[in-house]
Amino acid sequence: MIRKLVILALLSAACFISGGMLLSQHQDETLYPTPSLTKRMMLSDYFSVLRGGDGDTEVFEYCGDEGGGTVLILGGTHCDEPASYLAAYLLIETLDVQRGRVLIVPRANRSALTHNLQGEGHPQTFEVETLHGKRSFRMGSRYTNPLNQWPDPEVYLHSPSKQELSGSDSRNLNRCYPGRADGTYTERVAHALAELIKQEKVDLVIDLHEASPEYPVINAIVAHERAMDCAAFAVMELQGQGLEYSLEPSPQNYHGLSHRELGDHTNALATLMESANASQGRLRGRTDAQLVVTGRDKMYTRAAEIEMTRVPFGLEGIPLDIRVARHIEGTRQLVLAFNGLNAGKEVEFGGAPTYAEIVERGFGKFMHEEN
Amino acid sequence: MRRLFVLAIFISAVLANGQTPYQTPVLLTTGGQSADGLFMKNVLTKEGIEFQYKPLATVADLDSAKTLIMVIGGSSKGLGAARISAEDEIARMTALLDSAAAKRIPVIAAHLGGKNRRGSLSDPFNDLGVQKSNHFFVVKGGDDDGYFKKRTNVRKIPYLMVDKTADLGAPLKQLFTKPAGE
Repeated sequence: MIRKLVILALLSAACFISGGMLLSQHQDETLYPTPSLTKRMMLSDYFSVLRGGDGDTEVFEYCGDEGGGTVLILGGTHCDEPASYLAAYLLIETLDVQRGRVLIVPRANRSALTHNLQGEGHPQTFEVETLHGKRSFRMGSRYTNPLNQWPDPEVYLHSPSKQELSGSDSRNLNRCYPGRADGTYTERVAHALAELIKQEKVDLVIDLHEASPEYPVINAIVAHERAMDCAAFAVMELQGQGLEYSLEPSPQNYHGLSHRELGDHTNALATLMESANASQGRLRGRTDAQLVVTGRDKMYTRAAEIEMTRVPFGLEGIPLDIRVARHIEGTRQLVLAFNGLNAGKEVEFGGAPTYAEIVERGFGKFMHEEN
Repeated sequence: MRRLFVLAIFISAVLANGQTPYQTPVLLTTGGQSADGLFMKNVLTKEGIEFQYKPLATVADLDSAKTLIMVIGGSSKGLGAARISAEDEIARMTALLDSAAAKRIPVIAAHLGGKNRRGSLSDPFNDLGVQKSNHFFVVKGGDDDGYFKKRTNVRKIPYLMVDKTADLGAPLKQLFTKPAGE
């Protein structure tokens, strides 16, 4: 009898602990916007159906004193690409906008931050050193949580193109644009983001991503044809700083992606940036929080030696600091290029650290625990 | 080979006459459908060199051109966006380069995309471009292994490596400028 009670108690404790861990994945990290923040909104303000659900997510608005254009920065479209949402967090905690307006949605697919991708062995969280000690961040998934959208169809039929995609892509926000008001959970989030862009008259969208080191489109800016001139100027500037970037056109016949659909269905110039993240690659070795942060992986170093990667990958790896720094500098150069091509619609901001500063000190040192 | 020989004689004759063989207007195209042609477009615009940018230029487009600039390096997204296969792109490039040689239109090939525009997808385009051009530019990072240097040495055509794309402005301007004393 006592033995049974002990087993029951242990099982209860295990359920309690794992349940707590599961619930903690639904707890958004606290962010500390700069005093330059002018409004804190929710995505459901643009599409009320999302209100109160996991798909409802924060929208941070920073307005300058002078009028100008509007830039939207999307982080966390894929939540196993941590540099995407950490770059957005860093901007939220450092930005000082002097002219025009910057909107930031750091957790574009908030549901994707509430779980990990099955079979990947990703950590639930990882830690970053800040001036106030270690700060913990969640590692999420590429897809919407099945708790929010299930089951996947055999084939996902994208709307409105009718293009056939794999069933799991029905939960991939970056295959669901421009979204549908009466569609799936993920399509409704995509629709809400497209509504935000239309209602706020966004001029430039920058969708932040990461990709495997062996993926062909890496260290790149992908742009809709209307955004190509802007992206070309930005890439030239980035290359001038010694940063390897390529410029890729958005394929017209591959639907559902932000750079294609937001460019086609809104007036915004749609761009997307990719950095190299070993923790989501197929060739990686041990997968843990260290890999996410340091980006060091001996399997990838070996893969690079035999030319199996699309980016150089030495023993030093590609740490999160470099990946975040690339997104911050890429964003800065896209905005500067936009300004050069759109007189009267300039967006000017300061506060965000430079590439060199982030690489030297680590992005965590620029984040604020209080403001 | 014979056409290249004829073109070399033509260029030598023009140079001896004190003129640059590189005249405007320029037909700017890509070899591999990468978006790097836009970098060259920015440089030409900044330098005030008259050009027409046609990523999918055909032989007919050479009728109004006096110089062909081909920005080489492949892009899978670019080929997809242009809805053209790698084989068809090679055929388009070959026709264009051969036609330019036949019409005595000098060709400048440029590789601007660094390491990202090297490898199994890009090198067939790169090889064709460097084998059929009269002048070659490369941005640092794209020729760390000497791939282009070796080929331009064999063909004895000018080769210039620059640190960044923006640095191409001055040497390009120089190519299109008549020699002093004209």
